[in-house]
Amino acid sequence: MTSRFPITADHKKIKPRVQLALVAFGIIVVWGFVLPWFSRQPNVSSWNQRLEEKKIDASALYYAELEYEPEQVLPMWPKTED
Amino acid sequence: MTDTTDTDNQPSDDWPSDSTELSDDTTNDEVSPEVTSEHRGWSQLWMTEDWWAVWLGAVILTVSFLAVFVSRPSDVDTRLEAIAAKSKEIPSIDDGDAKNAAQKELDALKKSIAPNPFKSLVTKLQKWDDNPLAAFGTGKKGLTGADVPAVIAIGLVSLVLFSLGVVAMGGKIEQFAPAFIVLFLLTILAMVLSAQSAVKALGLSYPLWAILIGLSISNTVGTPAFLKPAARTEFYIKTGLVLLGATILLKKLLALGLPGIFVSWVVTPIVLISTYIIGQKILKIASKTLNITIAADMSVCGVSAAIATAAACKAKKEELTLAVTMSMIFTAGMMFAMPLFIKSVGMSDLLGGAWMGGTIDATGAVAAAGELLESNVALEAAVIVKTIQNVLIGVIAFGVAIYWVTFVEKSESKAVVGVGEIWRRFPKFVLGFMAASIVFTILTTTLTAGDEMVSSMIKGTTKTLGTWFFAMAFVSIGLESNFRELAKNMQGGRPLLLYIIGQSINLILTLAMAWLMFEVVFADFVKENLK
Repeated sequence: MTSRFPITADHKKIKPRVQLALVAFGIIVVWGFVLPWFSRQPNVSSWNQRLEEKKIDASALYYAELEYEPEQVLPMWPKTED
Repeated sequence: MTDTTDTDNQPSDDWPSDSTELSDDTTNDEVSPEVTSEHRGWSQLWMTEDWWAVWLGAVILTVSFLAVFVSRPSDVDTRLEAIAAKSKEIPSIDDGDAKNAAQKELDALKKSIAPNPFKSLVTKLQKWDDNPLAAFGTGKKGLTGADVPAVIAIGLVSLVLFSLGVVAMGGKIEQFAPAFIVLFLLTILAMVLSAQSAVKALGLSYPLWAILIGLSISNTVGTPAFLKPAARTEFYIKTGLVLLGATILLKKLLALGLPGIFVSWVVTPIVLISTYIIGQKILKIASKTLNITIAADMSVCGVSAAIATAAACKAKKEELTLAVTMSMIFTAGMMFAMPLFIKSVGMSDLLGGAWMGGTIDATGAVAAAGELLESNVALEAAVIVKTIQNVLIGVIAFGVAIYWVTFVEKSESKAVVGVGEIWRRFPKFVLGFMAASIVFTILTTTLTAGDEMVSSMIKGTTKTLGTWFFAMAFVSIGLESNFRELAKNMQGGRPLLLYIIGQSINLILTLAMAWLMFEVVFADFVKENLK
């Protein structure tokens, strides 16, 4: 039985477009409202401040992405007496 | 668990041509021809992505270093002497304010030795709290968007460089350029999402959001055909890896003395190999490339090791996505859980720091966890152990590439692999990666103020460009992946189980080795020399 209103290519695209719009909406809500609210919480805010003072980027993947530079903690070899 | 055959690693006649490898070019057929036997010999030098990644990386590194080299002041020696004198003087200053002032003076002196003229042109996005536009910098008058010209410059430089490669490899600029512009805009969006302060504080980095942006498109409306010519995951990853090679400075090995080397360089390969064997023999992970990517990701240093290993063994895009996602989730958890545990059991700062440095995947999360222990010794030990592990990336990528072309592909094809064949199959970008590491290690140790100049080049130019290239690669991965393929790779949760088992071994062995080195074998040495 054929439909009175055949589904065209345009109709098929509606659902994926709605899905994409929902994802975009989710991103706007989370990054526009939820995360900024979370950032303002005292614990998160003070944690961020501590990291900033120490020049630590907690999301750095590799040591070169860190501004924080550790000092030489230990010499390579035990000192020999002359 | 049921045994599975290794169908994912079956070689085809015209290797390498697995349609879903990182080297997958099926979506880019119109841009670049697949590497075939016709491209053996000298034509490989200008017809393959591997070599183009090396050339582009070499051009960027050379230009960036020369810019810093010619900009150095003429009185470098005098300034170096002043720095040495100031560095000696600072520890003896008792007054806090005077000490801070002297430290600022020292920092300014250090910066003046190696100015980087490209620094203002190559920028990463800034951390923001509630206004995404603040990611593009804030000008002197408080206006946001000061870095927009720099972001445009990065896009243009990337477009020109990658277009050169694409055109040389037979692609069409009129297809690549518009697609690249859209891809770059998506990359900017991913970078803005990753720069939100709460996201950063949780240690969730840009690859996750870049993949998310790509997946959001490919799994809803589908990746538009016009965008596919720019989704060149492997090209961006390999070029980024050559740039990363320049940051692998072998002198970084020395910062935690001999005990630090034992913790980083003895335990890590043991964990890597044992995790791989467990994956193959016990968990029967179907894909060897997925197995080794997870093992390297978990045992070395997270995402950057996963990228290098996946490229070296030609893992599938979905496999890299899976490894990266698992690493980020576990990293965020361990970053907060480990300091709590270390404090609760009263572990020493040095031991706790070294333990976290050897086990938490990403460097930034290691530093944040060190800071949670509220001890400078813990923080420094953690970051140094992780830095020494970072240096392992080159060795691991080289080792995996050799092992794959010599043994894994040999056993699959059941053919004897000669030296010529090994060379043909070897991922050449690894050579660029290793060469960059060796050349810049030599420059840091032989040139006057070499350390400062290389550091200025890395921090001012190449590190940031590499980050943008990796972000473009992850957006491309997202655009070319779908949830069905990702779910297939989960294999009933076995990769997750592999990560958990491997990380457990890592936690136990690293703690044992760190305790043995810092508190038993070198206990007196540590006591005498620890700052």
